[in-house]
Amino acid sequence: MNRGLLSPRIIIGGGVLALVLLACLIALPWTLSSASSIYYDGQHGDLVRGVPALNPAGWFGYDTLGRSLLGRCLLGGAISLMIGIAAAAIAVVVGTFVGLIAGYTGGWVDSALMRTVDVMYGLPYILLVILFKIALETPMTDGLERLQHGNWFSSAQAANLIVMFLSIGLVGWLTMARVVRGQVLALRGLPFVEAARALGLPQRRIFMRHILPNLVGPITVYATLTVPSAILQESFLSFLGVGVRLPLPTWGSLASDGVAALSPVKFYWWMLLFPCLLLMAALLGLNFLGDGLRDVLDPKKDAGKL
Amino acid sequence: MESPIRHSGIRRRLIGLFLALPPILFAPLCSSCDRRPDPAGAAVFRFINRGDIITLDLNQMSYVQDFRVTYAIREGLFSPTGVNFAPEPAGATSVDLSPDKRTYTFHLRPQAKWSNGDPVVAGDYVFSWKLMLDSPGEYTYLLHGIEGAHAYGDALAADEPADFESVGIKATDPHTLQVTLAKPITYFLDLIAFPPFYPRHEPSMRPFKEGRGYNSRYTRPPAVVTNGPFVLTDWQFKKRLRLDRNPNYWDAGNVKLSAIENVTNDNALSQYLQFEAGAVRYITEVPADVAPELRAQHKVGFSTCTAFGTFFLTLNCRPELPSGQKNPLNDTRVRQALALSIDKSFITENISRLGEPVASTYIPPGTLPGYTSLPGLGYDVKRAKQLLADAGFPEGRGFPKLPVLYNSDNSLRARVAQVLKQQWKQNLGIDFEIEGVEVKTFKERNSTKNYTISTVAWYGDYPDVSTFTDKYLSSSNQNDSDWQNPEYDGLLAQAASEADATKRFDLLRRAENMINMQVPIIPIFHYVNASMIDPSVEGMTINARSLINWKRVAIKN
Repeated sequence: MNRGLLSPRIIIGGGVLALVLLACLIALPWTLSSASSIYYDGQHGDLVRGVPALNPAGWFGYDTLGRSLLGRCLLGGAISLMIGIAAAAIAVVVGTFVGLIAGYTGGWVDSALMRTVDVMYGLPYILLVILFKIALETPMTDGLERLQHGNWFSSAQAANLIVMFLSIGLVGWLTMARVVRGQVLALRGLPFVEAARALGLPQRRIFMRHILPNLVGPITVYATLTVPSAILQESFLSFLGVGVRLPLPTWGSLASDGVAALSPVKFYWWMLLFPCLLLMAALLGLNFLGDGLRDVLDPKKDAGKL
Repeated sequence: MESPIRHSGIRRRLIGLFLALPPILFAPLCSSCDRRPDPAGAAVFRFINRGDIITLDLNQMSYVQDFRVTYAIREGLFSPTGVNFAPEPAGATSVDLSPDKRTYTFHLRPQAKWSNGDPVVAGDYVFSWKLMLDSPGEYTYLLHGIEGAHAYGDALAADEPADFESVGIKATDPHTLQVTLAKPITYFLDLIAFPPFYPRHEPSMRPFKEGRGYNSRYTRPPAVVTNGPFVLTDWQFKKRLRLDRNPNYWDAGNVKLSAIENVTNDNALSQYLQFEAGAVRYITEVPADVAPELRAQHKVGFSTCTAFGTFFLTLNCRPELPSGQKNPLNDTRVRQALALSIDKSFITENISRLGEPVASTYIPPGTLPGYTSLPGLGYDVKRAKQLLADAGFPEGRGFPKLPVLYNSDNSLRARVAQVLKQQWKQNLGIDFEIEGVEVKTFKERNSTKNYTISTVAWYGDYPDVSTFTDKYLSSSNQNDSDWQNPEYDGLLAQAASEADATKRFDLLRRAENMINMQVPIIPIFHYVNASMIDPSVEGMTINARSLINWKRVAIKN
């Protein structure tokens, strides 16, 4: 097990991801402070569309409003990764839970749960996300307002973010539930589970010891795929005007600004390159990590040694 | 004009909003578009006219590209072809105006002919104007200043008996048209130079009659018969329109081009690439992302002119906000403070970047001959702070957090909203939020006044001050800010019945100044139209109203 965790894929993937994530998180005090030169909404009028320069604020250049792109990329990364990870976590928890119950219980419970999933699949996902947002946003804003009276952060903005990953997560569990259920159905019929049952092991032990470990692989892989898709969905929602509110940046919105700055006459390459590089690094890191973890966590990996 | 209902300029501009797609996707399109040899060396003027042609039916038309083609193939009593695009006699040779300034007697040009050789007679005008009332469209309201026309239209709409005899449009003989207005309209000649007032050839349209109107197929070749310098000979749907010189046109000797080809291309960027490749000599619009760069590089052929439109913020002036809380913008001092604390030149220099004039007034200066606005509010942070303190929000304390609305498909407005947020925070200490919504919701929320501050625009429909000022009448359903001022309404009512053009402008000037000073809107900048014209093209002047004098356009060898 220990040797497995040191596989090059995990080290490279996890390392890159950790590097990006840490940089984004460590920089937060500066990207959020209006006194700092990399403040995400700090405008330097004379540096509009400024090319990358040597001073730290200018490493990534400046955007169309003269804001430090480094600061915006770092804060955007924090927001995008937070949305991605939180949405994936929700999707994994809800999806695994529903999938396990449906697959293991079978019968009418299975039918009921799976038909619900089918119906939700049939609805356009964007419609669901918007419905969730409309339903949750106002109560969330009011709740946060009552909690902290706007002392620490803007309730509307915080509610916007929380509702954002809640709604993406609440829509993203559908595929997860199907994958897990299929896996459980297959496992349930396998001889080692039948043997465990024949030995009279309690349900819980069969579940925890024999079924769940076999699910870790698909769940991990799917979770690492959900993070990037949540990040991309957020950028689409931002475009529709239901996503993260301007001027808060996300990698998706930074990249779409970058595409807008791409023209056959003049190309502000830094506006596209840097957000995309970071996005790419994070997504590749996630994929490597997912692949590596799947190999490590596969219970059958050591089967040959027996 | 009695009806305050105007369609908003947004619709005509809408097409441009959807074109901001990644250029790489379209780059390969241009390998096939090398300049085709012109047959027999004749001068064919190929150009791209914005998007696709929507309709050439005078009743239905409202898009600028349709009007552009119509000016080439049709002609009215007067044409907007004089100096500064003032109306000059075209289908008519002269006009007599009665002393009460209500009756116009037009003397038609005897040698004016339709493209099939028939003479153009007064009856053709009567027929076409009656058709505008019988089958009403976007611009029918322009005819409502004619005596009896509004009542006639209302009666038809209500399925009551309507008598066209009561309408002040009469052909007294084949070459004399007499028009009686309900009350004097100082800009009536400007109106009749506009396509909804152009004549139509009834015999050629007869096969297409449908109910009270006509199927718009009458506008397609070979059936179509027109009276302008060019005639539509080929219309390949979504591909091209070909206009050939009309040999029967009364002034054919002065028409320089032998043919015009209107190439259809819906994508702004690929339009630009086609121009660059030399496939067309003129593109009427330049992609929003490219235009500022072309301007910065002083690109040959890049031309701009002030448009007949203004980009502004509309402020909700109702006593209560949509959320039910008290609206601080209900206080004029707050609105003035917001207006005084915007550095608009930052926006035109760094965001829009087409050399737009910074706006302190609602109406674009210099677009209406004889009209000058009184100065509006400038950039004065000190005064703004004072006004805000007077209104009970010293240093912005206690000011609620309000949202600024924009349509999320418009990246320019998104950026402007962010700049406003920064400037108001910096100059007044007020925190705003930015709310981007999808364009349909955006329009709906503006018209139902479900917003606090919104980024909008207005383009004039016809060349008169009232096309702007009527929007803010208390009774107007286009009055998005719900600013109601009896004094303003009074001034406009007075102006509407004023026969003297100078006095009328004085009244309108005072009315416009009330908007600028009481701030139901904050003008940001006046739009600029950008286009690319090949240096080989002569006689093409682009102008605020996108008019082209097609007779004068020529190609240098």
